[in-house]
Amino acid sequence: MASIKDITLGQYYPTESVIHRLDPRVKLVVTLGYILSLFLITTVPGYLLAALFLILWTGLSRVPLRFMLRGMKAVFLLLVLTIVFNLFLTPGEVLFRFWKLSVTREGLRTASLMATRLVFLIVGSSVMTFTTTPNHLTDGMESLMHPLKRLHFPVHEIAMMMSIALRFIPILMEETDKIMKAQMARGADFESGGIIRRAKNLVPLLVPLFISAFRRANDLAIAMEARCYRGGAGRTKMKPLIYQTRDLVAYGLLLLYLVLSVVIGRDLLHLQNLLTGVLAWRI
Amino acid sequence: MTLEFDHVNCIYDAETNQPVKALSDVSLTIGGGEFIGLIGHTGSGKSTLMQHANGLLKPTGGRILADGTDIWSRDYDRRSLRARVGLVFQYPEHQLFETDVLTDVCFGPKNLGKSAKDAEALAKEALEQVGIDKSQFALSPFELSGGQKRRVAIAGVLSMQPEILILDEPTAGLDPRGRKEILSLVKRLHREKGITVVLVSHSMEDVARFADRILVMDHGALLLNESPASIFSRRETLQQIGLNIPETLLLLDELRRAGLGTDDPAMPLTPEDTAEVILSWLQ
Amino acid sequence: MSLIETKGVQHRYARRDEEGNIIQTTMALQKITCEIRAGEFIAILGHNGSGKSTLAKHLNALLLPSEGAVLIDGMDTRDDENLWHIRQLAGMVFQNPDNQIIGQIVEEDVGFGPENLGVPTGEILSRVDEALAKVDMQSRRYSSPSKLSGGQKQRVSIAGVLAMKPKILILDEPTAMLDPAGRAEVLATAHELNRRDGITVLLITHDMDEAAGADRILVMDRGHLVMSGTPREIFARSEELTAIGLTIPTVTQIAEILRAHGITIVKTPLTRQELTEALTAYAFALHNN
Repeated sequence: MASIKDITLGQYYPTESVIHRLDPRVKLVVTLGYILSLFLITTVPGYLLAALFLILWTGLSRVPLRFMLRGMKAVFLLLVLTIVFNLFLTPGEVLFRFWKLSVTREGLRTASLMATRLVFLIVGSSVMTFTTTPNHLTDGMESLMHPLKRLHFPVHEIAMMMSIALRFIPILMEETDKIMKAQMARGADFESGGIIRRAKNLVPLLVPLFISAFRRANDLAIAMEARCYRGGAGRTKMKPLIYQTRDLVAYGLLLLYLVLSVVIGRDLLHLQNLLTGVLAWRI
Repeated sequence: MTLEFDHVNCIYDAETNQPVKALSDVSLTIGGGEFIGLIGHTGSGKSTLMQHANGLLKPTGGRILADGTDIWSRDYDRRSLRARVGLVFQYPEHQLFETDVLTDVCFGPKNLGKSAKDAEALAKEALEQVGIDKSQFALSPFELSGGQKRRVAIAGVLSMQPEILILDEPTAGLDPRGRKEILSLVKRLHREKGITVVLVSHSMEDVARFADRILVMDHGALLLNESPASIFSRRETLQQIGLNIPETLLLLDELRRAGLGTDDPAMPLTPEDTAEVILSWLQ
Repeated sequence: MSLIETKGVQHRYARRDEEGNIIQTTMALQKITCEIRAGEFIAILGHNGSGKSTLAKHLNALLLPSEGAVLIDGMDTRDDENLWHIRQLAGMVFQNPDNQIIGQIVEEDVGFGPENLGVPTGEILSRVDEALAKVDMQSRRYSSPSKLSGGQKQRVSIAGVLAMKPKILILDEPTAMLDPAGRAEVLATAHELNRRDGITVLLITHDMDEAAGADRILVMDRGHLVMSGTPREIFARSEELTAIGLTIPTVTQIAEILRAHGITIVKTPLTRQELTEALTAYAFALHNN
């Protein structure tokens, strides 16, 4: 039962920090940029640069480290699997043997780089969710995707759907808990039995949950109509997103970081090959 | 059966920096065919208390004894406890899920391992007791009116033949006629079946007329545990914790203040009894 | 001119089978004709299924009459051009607070209506300020709705309507899911808005004590408007009310029994104070004879 309470989607950590005050669009772009850089970087100095950026990014957010690491719990298994697979299954120069498995130099290298990359990726992107309310995030996405509107992509509708979903997830979680208890009070068993039995046992939980969700959706639609909602056209914003100086500075820093990560992070020889290739193609 | 709470504590979110004390050192005994009213405003801990009674929640401190045995001792069969301590939640929508009324009421007995035939017999008996006509057995529970849904929900628990029946706000959201019907149904079940009934409510008026004993919860603590008469002699305490006092008692207080009444401690709860008291005063 | 006018409104609900054939039609409203003046506080009373919510939904064009007409400030609800203006004029608050709050923080929700109306940004903020002040919720402006009590949630919903600057506030059983403290909060807010800001309030309820505070009560039964009058006029007809599944306030019930026993009570009392006054007068007269 406790498990349902533990699932929190919006893990916003309320505090005052520069990162909290940044425009959500900036945070989205920085996060995407950072993820991109992690895939570009292949050298150790490059990883050091990424680490430096991460320390700055998390440090400025003033979110306690233990909250950041809590997010790691969920992907711990993935992390372990990544390490194990890379460690044992990469062919190359054998360092030592362990039972029937052998660890290679290349394997060690790939495993540690992959693990670092994964940790950086998760911590780096969790800063965004820790410092941005879900609604701000949706606002940011809506605004960033705005150009797609010309291609008749339903940007406003998707943003509205996301924010409604975010609003109702905690309510439906609580409801799930209540229904579960009501059925357990009638002797229902959600814990034992094989997979088919368990799936069957979920029916008494899912039917009331779906009915309730549909009713809520219907109620909400009527309530929105009653408050003159008629889609995105003609709507104004109470708090439109406006770039401040700090946002532009952040964009500048991101650009600098990306350039550096290409210069330091890529094998220069590799880069040269790439450049010659591009030039050759141009010619 | 007798259910005993022995210094029960319940703390939510203990590991966070904002622990919530939902129950604080509650000791009480339920059983012996009594009609008990459990009163408190929203968030007073009455729902939490109720969910401890049948082992849906585990106390963080103290013990709950069913006929002298700790229900959280190893090997204790809490599923069969849930049949003996029947708990009807506030919203019937949280438990109704089957395609027809009769099958839905069979759910509890079937979970207890009864054969299809026995389960059906128990379900029919329970439905009859709550006043659902045979002609409605095949209806979808979702087509019923609010009051009928509540009856079916009560039958769904009654069919497990509980010795203690706990009802959470069974009249919430019903109109005056529906309220009256459900309350007299509960009263009748208590009388005819001789089971212990706990009626959870935030309305003094609903509870006061029937209860032998009233439990008043406030901020997770059991504030009062006395007969209605003795509870009502403490009107000020009740008002302080935001509970409503029956209109009839407030009226008599006002008449006394106007010099029309005597100090006799009469505590009528029905309009008829109140009129009688006033008539005796006027003569 | 009256602010709300219904002329012979009928509303048919059709139940259809899977192929879309009508298998049953129910008349949810039967020839409802009434007028409501600006500034009135009206209670619409009726048991569940009496049609009171259906009537309410006609007043802001969420439902349209099958026959007859509804005029809001002179505008016909069947005319598409008036739709958004009518919904802005006649705001509606529903029973379940969780199913009508859209924003994830209070101020966001209150701003939702004005955003839909295309109000300029600066003005939305001032409207939100004003609306929250009117329901006394400024201190929770940045709270998440899930952290609020039921009564507070309903006050936020009311603020969400007020931010659209309506003339009419329709409350569809706003207290049905609240505890006594929450009920009192919401009712006090509704009365305050009516008295201080002159907003016309329509309170749909089956609670007699809530209805007793209205200027006028409309009683609905099985789709018909069966009574209309001041609370005192309505509650004097206790037999008719009982017959349609409604009761009268406890104090009024007691007064009736006393009258049956020969006690003179001239004015049907609705509050404890009124009954006390009546009985004081009776005792005084008795004493002087």
